[in-house]
Order: sequence, then structure tokens, then C-alpha cells
Amino acid sequence: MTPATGDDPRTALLEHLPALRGFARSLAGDPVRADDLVQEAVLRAWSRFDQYRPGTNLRAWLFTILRNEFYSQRRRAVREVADADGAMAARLATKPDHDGRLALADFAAAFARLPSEQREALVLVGALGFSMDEAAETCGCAPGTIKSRANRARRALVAMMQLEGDACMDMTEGATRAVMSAQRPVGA
Amino acid sequence: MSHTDHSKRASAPRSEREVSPELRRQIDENLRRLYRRSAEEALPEHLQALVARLRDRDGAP
Repeated sequence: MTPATGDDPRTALLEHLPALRGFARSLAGDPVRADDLVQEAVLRAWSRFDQYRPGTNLRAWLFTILRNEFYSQRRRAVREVADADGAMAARLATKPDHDGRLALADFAAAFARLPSEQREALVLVGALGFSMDEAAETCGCAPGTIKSRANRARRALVAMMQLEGDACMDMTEGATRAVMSAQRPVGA
Repeated sequence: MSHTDHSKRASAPRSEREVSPELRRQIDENLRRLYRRSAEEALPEHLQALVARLRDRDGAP
């Protein structure tokens, strides 16, 4: 999606919210916590729109705000609860199986075990279509760092899932729906 | 992949190798299934209401 330029950012914000939710879910794991994160990011962005420079990348600006909020919340949470990154992994952990449903659960669990810096790099460039430069701007690092983190993340996933060669991950549409339903809050 | 690339990949330490293009494609595809799907869901009512309140308050277009 091309960042909106020239539009009122308060209006353009809306078109970025769905992708922000996807990014938040990849960071937070828990969908309820992810939506709380999006809500906080919206409030912060809205109160800082006077700092946004028209014509610059609104999407990267918004994602940076959400990312900063995630790490702020996590620093607070780590003081209260250990293993913030591992919570999702523990919930989704399952024994290896040839069934596609379990294979996707394995993938989600393995992904949740990655360090957050690797998760964000991989989701931004691998799932949400950010360029290396845009992901680097969002994460406040060099494009080479994003590339390196994404590569390390892919290697770690392959190792965790014990994939060799070009072994196929059987993850059907039905399996995807099953895993996403499991992540959805009750009543959502 | 060129012969040079192949040689480089084969000789690199396991921890530094890139995954094969096919596995990379599968990983990215599954990430898209997991996270782009959630990005395509309708916004929950509380988020829509929050934005509406903020826009009303500030008289945003």
C-alpha cells in the first residue's frame, strides 16, 4: 500500500489500521492485547499529528509509534511477568504431526518463539510488503539489519521446525482459519 | 543461483546460510496467511468508535 501523501493524516490513518492490527498481532501474539496496542498507538498518533511531516511516510510513522508502544509495554510487563515472548508459544505448542492443521500451529508456535526484533523484521518485509528501507525506518535501524534479522528468523524457523531441503510445509486454508480462530478473542 | 553463489552457500557455516528460495517462499506465504488475514478483518467496533470520537472531537474531515 502506498503511503498517503497530501491527505489529512487523521483521515489516512484509517486505511493503515488493518495492517497495524496485523503487525500488532505478530508482536503481541494475543489478539486482545494486540488491539489494546493498536488503540494506544492510535491515541498517541492522534495526539502527535502536529509532529508528523506531511509528505513523509505516514505508514512507517504509524508503525513506529505502535512498535515503540509495544516495547514500552513489554518493558513494564517484564518487570511483572517473566517470559513475555514465550507466552504465545506455550499456548500454541503442539507435537509435530503431518496434519496441516498441526503443521500451521507448529509454524505459529515457532514464530512466536523468535525474538521480537526478528518477528517484526520478518512480518514487515515478508507479510506486509514493506521494503527493506521502509522496515528499517519503522524499526529505527539500517536496511542491512532488517535483512539480517529476517534471514536469521527464517533460519531459526527452519531449524525449529526441523525442515530440511525444500520440505513442504502443509498449511492449508482450513488450517489457517483454525489457527486464526484459536487466536481470536471470545465473542470477536 | 550461480555456481559462485552455490559454492558460497555450501561453504558458509550452517548458522550463516540463507534458507533455500523455496523454503523462504513458503515461510513468507505462511506469514501472509497468518498476519495479512488478520489485517483484512473488519475493524472491531471499539476501534472504529475510538477513531470516530477523535474525528468528531477535532472536527477532522
